Amino acid sequence: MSNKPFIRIVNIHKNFGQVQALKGISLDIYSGEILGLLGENGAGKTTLMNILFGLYKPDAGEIYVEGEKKFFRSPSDAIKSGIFMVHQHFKLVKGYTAFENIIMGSEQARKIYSPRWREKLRPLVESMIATYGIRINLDSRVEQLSLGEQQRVEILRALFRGAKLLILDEPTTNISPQDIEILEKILMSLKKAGISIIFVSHKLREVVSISDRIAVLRKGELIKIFRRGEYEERSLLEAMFGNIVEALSDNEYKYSINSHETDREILLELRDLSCDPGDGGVQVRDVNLLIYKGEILGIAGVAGNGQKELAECIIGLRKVLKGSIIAFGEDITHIDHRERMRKGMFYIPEDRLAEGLLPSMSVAENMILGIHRKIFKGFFLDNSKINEMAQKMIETLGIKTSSPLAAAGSLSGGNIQKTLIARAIAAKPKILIAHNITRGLDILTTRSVHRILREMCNEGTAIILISDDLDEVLQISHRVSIIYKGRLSIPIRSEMLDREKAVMLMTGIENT
Amino acid sequence: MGLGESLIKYSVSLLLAFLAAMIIISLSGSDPLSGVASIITIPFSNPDILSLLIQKFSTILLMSLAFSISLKAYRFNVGIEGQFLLGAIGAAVTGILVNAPPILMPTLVLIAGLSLGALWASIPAYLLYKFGVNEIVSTLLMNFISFYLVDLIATGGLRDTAAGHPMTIPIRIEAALPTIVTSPRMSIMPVIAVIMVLGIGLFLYRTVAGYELRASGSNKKASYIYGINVKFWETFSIILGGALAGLAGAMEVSGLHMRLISGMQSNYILVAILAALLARGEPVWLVIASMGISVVEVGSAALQRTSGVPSELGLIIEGVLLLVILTFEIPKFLRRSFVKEVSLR
Repeated sequence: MSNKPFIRIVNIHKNFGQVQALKGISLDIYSGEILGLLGENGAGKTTLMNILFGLYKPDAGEIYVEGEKKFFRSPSDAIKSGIFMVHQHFKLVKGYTAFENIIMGSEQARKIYSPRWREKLRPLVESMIATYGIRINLDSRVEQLSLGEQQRVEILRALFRGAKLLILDEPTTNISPQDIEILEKILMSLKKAGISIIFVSHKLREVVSISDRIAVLRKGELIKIFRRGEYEERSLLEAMFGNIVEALSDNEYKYSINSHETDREILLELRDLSCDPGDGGVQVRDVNLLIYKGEILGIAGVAGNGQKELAECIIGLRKVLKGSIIAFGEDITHIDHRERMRKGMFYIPEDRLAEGLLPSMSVAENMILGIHRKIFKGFFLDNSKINEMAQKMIETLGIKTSSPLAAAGSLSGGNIQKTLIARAIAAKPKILIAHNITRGLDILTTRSVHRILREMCNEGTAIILISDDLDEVLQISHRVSIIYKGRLSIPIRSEMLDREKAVMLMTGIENT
Repeated sequence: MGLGESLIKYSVSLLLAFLAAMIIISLSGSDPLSGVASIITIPFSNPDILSLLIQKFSTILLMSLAFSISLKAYRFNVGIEGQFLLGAIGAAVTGILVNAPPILMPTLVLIAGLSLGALWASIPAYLLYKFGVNEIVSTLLMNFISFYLVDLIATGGLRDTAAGHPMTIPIRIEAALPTIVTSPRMSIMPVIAVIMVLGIGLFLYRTVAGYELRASGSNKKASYIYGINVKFWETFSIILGGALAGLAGAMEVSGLHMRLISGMQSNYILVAILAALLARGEPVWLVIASMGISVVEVGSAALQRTSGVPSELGLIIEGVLLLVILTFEIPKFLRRSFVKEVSLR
């Protein structure tokens, strides 16, 4: 690490309307270091990075690159200064190969006036891959690559254009544990080559394991910078959350298991269930499962192993190819999803914006979707009753909205999720299927969502919690099953399942 | 977006639209300021022109309501023009040929128009429901069929041979809508239009069915997952729109022209869609948008008579207005899609 910083960020301020998103942030980034940027959702991490990448203009403050003051009008200005950002959702062009995506629009490509320009660039790209030890099949088309591989293509694309600083926004959210390991190795070799990396995340464990320094943001302020090996995990948590760390200690948080399966009623049974994979979906096969009243059954797995297909099959949005579904002692295999919901099943889909939210309708109206026919038997809708119900939900769940009449599309991600959960609470379902309901939420919101699930389950709801986050599943489920390539492992009580073993099952190293 | 922000946006748009109008007026050799002033004041200057304004307003309001109802289900019924004409045909044929007790005649005429409009809309609606045929294409194409259908009837057995332009003979005197003002003659058209707006507003915001219709338009997939019959509401919204457009046509026949006239659809489809987009399909705002557009339409037509400024000026003003408002919307849209992860607020 050299003494002169590669980039200096000095006293950056940014307001969005009334909200002070950044309150004077100053930060140095040195060549060849990995800087972790840690903070809850809404702490200002992404805003700060968007300013550094030229997507936003700061209200006040300066950015210096190698001692020279810079104004970034757009990302292309930032790219000229060697700053690259890899977004959480990758921006690759489908239908083109990995190689074509890497060279597309680069300076080098623009300088070659020859029909064989691709072939001329090929050795450059190949030598780059060898230098950094990144393994990738250059001739696969983007859509054939896993998300982890796509991420590597994004990184290569940045390197090919001479990136000196790589900003990775929540790089581990969508990729498998193995891909995370590969990513860490790649980052280490980039670091050796003198490239700086900013690793933006709200996942403590990953940031700690890889960063040389960790900058913690809270509510738009830089709380503290921690150097590797000079801090305790506890002080990091305190910096992130302030004085509430006490309440977050693991023992208190862990769900206590107090009842036994044997004397409980079976609410749902899946018998040799195989689902229609549809167009390009994963084939879920031979699933056998019993779900009891008042339990949380966690299904963990790496995204894209049939979770969505299984959830849709159980709720009735997807056809059953073989086997049967028995709910409340009745065969519901051939009953449509509306009838299943009427009988007491409810679903919180993974994609909350595309499949859950009514963006142009009010928060209150959103909360009654799916149960509106239950609440209002007649022809007319009672708006004051809806708003009253919504007001109660807003208070109990702590949803941040100006009023129950505000458009739901204007809420932030966490509050949208709480709105969808309010629906499930109001529905009082006997069986709830919840898919990735805490993805992208900060720890506090996640925690309150978990508390809600626990309360529902205490009241007798059987919850199928499908999540990509193994720790979440281990933390709050009674029993855990692992899904891998459309097959489910036999559910094991969560306190008996060892994390290592679960990871091996999830990645297919050990058979389900 | 707060109310204040919208107010500013709409005022700026209005200002720019009238600025464009002033440029056109001065290009055609008149005084721009007094030109613009007269567009706004002429429609209110005497009882005759005022009654014309209110008639225009009633039809535009009903037509924009017809478009809005499908807009709320996120369908685009651009066939309101054809549905209007079918409504007019239904009203004229009933008004001429049916001999019912006089007290029933106006109602019968309106019901005939309303049903024929709905029937006409139910063809593309069925195609959408059954085969997923895009309603923008099918409703638009059906407009052309309706033009020739009108000509067929207006030049056929019911033709008024004394008239130089294709039109039918007048409807029976008993079939005419009751009047609220006798001189200048003003039928109950505005009353019907306003009652319809209130009714549809109530339907959309106070009934379970209206909730489901709006939910279908807000997010089709989510609505389907949570048990709403999205396809039904999409279809229904187009047919209901057809009924309203048909009613508008019947109203013009029995409350204004007293006959079916080729070309009576005027440019209603254009200005109605404009009003609906300006009001974002919200019934209450539709009243304001339709009134504004009617003033501009009547005012610019009158300006042509007095100072020779082309009456297309009205369309230019309306067009600029829509363009500016849509432009205001774009940056918001871009912000949303580029930087989704900003979880502030």
